[in-house]
Amino acid sequence: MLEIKNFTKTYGGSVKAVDNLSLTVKDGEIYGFIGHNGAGKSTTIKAVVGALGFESGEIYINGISIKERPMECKKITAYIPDNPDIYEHLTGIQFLNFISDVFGVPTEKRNLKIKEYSEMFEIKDNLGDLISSYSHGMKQKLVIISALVHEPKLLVLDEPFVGLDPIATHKLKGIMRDICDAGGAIFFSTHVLEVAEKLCDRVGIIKKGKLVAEGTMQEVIGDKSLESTFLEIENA
Amino acid sequence: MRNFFNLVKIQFLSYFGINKLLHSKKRRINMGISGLIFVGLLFAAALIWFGYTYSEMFADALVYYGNIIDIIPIMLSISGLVCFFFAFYSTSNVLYGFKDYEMLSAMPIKTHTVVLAKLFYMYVADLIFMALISLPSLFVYVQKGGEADLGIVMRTTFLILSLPAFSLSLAVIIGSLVALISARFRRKNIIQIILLIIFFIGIFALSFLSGYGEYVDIGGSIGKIYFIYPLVVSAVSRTGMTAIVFFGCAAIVSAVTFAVCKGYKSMNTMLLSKRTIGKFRMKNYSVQSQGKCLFKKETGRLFSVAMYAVNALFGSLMSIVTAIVLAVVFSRIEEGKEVFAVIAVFLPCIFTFMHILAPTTSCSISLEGKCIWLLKTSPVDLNKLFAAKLGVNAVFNAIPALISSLIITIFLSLSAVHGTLLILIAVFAALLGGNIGLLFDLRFPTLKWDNEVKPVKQGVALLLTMLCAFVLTIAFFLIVYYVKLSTVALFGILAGITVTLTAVTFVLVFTEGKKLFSKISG
Repeated sequence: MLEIKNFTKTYGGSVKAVDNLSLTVKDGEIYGFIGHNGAGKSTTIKAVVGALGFESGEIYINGISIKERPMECKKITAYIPDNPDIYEHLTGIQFLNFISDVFGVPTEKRNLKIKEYSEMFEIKDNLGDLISSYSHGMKQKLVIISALVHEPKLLVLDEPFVGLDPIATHKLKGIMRDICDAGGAIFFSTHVLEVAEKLCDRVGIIKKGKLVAEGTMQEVIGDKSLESTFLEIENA
Repeated sequence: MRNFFNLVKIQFLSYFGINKLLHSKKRRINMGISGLIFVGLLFAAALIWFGYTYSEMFADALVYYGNIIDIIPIMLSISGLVCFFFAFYSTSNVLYGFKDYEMLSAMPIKTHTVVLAKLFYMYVADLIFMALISLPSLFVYVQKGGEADLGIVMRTTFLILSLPAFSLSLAVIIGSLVALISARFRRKNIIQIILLIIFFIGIFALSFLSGYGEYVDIGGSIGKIYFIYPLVVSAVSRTGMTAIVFFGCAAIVSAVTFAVCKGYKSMNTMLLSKRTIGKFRMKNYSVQSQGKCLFKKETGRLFSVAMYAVNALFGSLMSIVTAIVLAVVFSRIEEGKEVFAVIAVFLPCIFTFMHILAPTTSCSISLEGKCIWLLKTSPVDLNKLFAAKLGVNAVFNAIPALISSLIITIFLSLSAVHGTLLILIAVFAALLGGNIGLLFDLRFPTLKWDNEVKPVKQGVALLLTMLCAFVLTIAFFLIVYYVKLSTVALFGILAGITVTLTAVTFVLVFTEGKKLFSKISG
């Protein structure tokens, strides 16, 4: 589903934020992308979702190059950023309809999905309110719903659990698994290593822009915890 | 005092990304400092030119009536009036509802220090504007044979210092009332815009509907709009100590009184607090095309911030009001149409200036702010996105241009060719403004902001667009003034220039603009 080949991103012509990174996320797989602040996680994620250009390497989504055919890639991808910065002057339902229109979601499907997910995340009653009146968690839930409403094949998430209450976190984890069971794929970054350890099929650890460990959870951590493995790598 | 100066310093460092330019080690950005200084100087020069030309325009008539001294209070009052309007509609964004309020209120800084810092920041901006516009009038006064004694220079300087404070205080008090009323409504932005427009139209309607004689009294007209004009006249032309004391005291007292006003905290809380209702009922939502939903989004954004709407609609409103006033005044005056024919040649300059000055597009990319990721990661067709942004400008800028030029054409009986060319110039100037604004905003977006004031009023794109408006207006003025051709031929030349520039910039938006958008990172 997602293939990153020799991806390099340089800022200001000299500082390499990500250096020759390659990884693959297969269909039906949840891939956890781990690293400390400034390691290059968000840069990689932004390049995957087409928000950031890059000099060398290739990124393919479902076999399509994000560089060559970005629109086709974006149609099957959904992105949930670490901060739910969305149009605060719109109401929740206006925002969801805007996203549905952009992705060309038909009437029946959008009505069904909006109802289903807004009830699941318990914000249905607030969809008529201005987003500016929402709490951080409510905005995060709205972004999640907007990402799910067009049934993406690839879901890319940057720190998705920040600001969510425990019930919403649990539901999101369930949705992530459902997407993978339906043949989709998840690529997400997190600092919550316990969640990553339980949720991910595969994991990649990035340090100073380079992928230093990658594989199935078992391959990466062996008989240790993900936390101790991560700390060992960071202190090496 | 240290807190006060630190707060003022922080605000000024955010102006046009000055701090970023000062602290960047990148050569390209450092070069930008020189560019920014150059543009700033050009802009200042354009304002001085505007002040000088405007004073010159009135000077001969005033010399004829033997009161050339009035040129100084006229220019002071005009710039004071402009300061009042800018302060009035930016009150709710600069003074209230600023996003660092929570952070600042959690610090050991007194509320009135924060408020005074905001007021001082607004005052300095107004002061610079007033000085650039008004000082040339002093020069024109001396040039036209006025007596240049030290007293006049000192009194003018004092008024340049005190009048912005007075205008600001007055605007803040009225602006606060408008904000207070609108805060009681859920859709407070719309209410605020409506109140601002009613206030704006009300002032102009009252002043212009009160009748004109055969001789149009410039000072009297200003006096009808800005009631302090007689006091300014008294302060400049006579040793009007009462007026001087009045201005000094009024400015200081109203600013300080307001700053320490106990109601500030509760009012700010009212403006900041937002409540959810939670009574939403689902219904069936039909599919809209991407172009239509983007257009709706852009229209919604225009009216989401009162300052943005008023800023963008100001030129259009002025254009329509000017057209109505010209139509009414010259149709009332005996031989008005003949007199009008003499000044009609300058109409393209007026329309070009009003419709290019602040198009809706000059901050439309910047206003995406932190939400830019939505457009970058969604399958948004850039052609449709740009078309939506230009479309909003066409509706709220080009259509008013069409209306005002039609009013002039119909009510002042312009010939078919003459009228058509005038309509072409006005409409295409509005479209050109949209293209220029969008191109500049794509090239110099201000995406990192905590308050809409930054992209809407302090954006580099807006500054450059305004500069273009000045340059094009001056160029048109010079063509009209120096090229000795018939009015229709002159209009033909100006229409040709406007249409060509619009076509070129339109192509640039959809070619270079796309490349610029891809380079923007959130």
